[in-house]
Amino acid sequence: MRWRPWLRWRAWLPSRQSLLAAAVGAAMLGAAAVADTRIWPVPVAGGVAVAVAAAGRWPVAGTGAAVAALVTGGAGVLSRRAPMPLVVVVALLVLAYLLMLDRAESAMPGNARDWPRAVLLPLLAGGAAAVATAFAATATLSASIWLTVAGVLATGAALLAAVG
Amino acid sequence: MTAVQAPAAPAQAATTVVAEAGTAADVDLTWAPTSHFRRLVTAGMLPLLAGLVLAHAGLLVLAAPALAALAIAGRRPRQAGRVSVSVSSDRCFEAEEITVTVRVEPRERARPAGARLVLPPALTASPDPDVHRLDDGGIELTWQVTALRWGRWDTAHVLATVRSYGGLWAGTVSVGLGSVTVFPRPPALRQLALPAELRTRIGDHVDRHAGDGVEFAGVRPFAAGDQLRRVNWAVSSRRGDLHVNQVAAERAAEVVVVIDALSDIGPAGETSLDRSVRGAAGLVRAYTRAGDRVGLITVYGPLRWIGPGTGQRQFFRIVESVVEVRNLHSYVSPDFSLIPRAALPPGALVVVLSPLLDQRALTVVTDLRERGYPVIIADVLATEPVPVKGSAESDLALRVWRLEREALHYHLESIGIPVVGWPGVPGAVGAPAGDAALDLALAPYARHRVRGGVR
Repeated sequence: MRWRPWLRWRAWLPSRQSLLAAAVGAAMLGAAAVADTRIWPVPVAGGVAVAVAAAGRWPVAGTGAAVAALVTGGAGVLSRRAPMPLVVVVALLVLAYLLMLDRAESAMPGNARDWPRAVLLPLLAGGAAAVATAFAATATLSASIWLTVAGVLATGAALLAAVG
Repeated sequence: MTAVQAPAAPAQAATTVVAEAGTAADVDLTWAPTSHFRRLVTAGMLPLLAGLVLAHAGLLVLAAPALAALAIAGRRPRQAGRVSVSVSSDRCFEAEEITVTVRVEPRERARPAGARLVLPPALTASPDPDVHRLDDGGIELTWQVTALRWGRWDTAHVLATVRSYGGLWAGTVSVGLGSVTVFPRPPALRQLALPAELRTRIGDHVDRHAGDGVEFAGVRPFAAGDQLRRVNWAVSSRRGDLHVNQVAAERAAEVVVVIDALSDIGPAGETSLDRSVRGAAGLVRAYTRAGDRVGLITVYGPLRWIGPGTGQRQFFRIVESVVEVRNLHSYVSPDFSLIPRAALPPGALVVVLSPLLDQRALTVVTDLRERGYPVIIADVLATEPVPVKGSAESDLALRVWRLEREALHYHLESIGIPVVGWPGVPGAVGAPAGDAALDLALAPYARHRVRGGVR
């Protein structure tokens, strides 16, 4: 058989799911960069990590990209430059990126029907948790016995969900 | 080891189960957190700890989604899975294919994530298996495995991986494929070396003695009891007396193939022992097809033998016995006086497949020849020492080595042992290679038969 170099290059091309994960990763870093533009080298480094993770050769790169977005978003929170809705969006995009990255790395033919259970359910739960946490972090409430009861119930529910 | 993967499976210690081919069994999986689990823990704990240390509740918003995802899918599955392996055949010849089918059926809260086929170097598989999704959520993967090298291989196994829903835990199990026996691929041989003296058993080879065959052997005067249809009327009318045609007898040969397993030189898959065993398989198949009685003696220090026999059954007895030869090692000197007469009948043609590197092998062939057996050697050495580039001394050493090989061949031929090369004498230019070479090398001894007897 004739040597066809493009066949070798094809093996290095990222899959469609990897490209989708990289797109979500770019959105994640873009949102984080908007949260705090002073530390722009961090999201730039995160962009490089997203590109490396898309190639699928170095799985730690995906973690690095997510950490870059969290650091940038966290800096925006600490400097009070980022509005809370933007922080929620950044947190959800981090989760979405990690879920998409995992889908790309463990893709098996015929697993498409697991998609809602594997991705949408964690995203919905993560979104609810982020909105609730954001509301709790920004709300100014006076001391109340009902607040204490709600906190205890939430702790118990979290414990039950974790131990299950 | 070569591994064929579909698609990625985590590298981790796994429970090993040796499955009977074609059976299904419940297996306990070894569960371990995946890289996805570690990423979510990092993405959740980093802002959480930062928020606690810096006393800033806003940072908890960044931690909340990852922690929620961990909470809903972080439980480790406790159910075992069901893995079945079926192998189309546990024995085949070299270059033949066997089909390995793996069915992974995880219990609830899990889904199959792939399987990796780990094979010894003697086996190779199609890079991408056929993947079929089953109705119950399991998968079925099918590989075509090609045998490259004869032997009995039992290190092949399948590493099956199951992931929990959410992808946070991966369960792995290793299922052994059992033993796969690969028989040597016999080269096609048409020209069979024959001994000068054939046995009295009826066969396909024309003997030099007169008998009841069909080949014309001569004319002699009529004697009482001769059949009238044998009368040669032309000669009888010329000489004025009745003469009859003589025909040659057709006899079977008794052949004993000797494999020299004392040394094994050459690249993997084409070592001298690989070639010896393949050559022996080819000779046994060719002689048994011709109706001859063939036996086998393996010299690896001590001797192993299978007495001469005929037919397809004898061929499979012999190829079944030679697959273990690679594991035989000994420093004992072979003693052919221990071989029973039934395993090495007097007058049998002895075909020795040897690289002629071990002095014990040379002693064996000389001993056999001195006992009066017709002996022929197929030199299976296909490699020669590689000289150091640019070194005149190394080139000289190679030339001396070649001369020594030629001298050895000359010495053996001088004591009545013909030596044929396969694919030719090392260093010879233009020698034919492959199966045809052995056929061509043996062709002269089909016409000019190998003589035995005490010189």
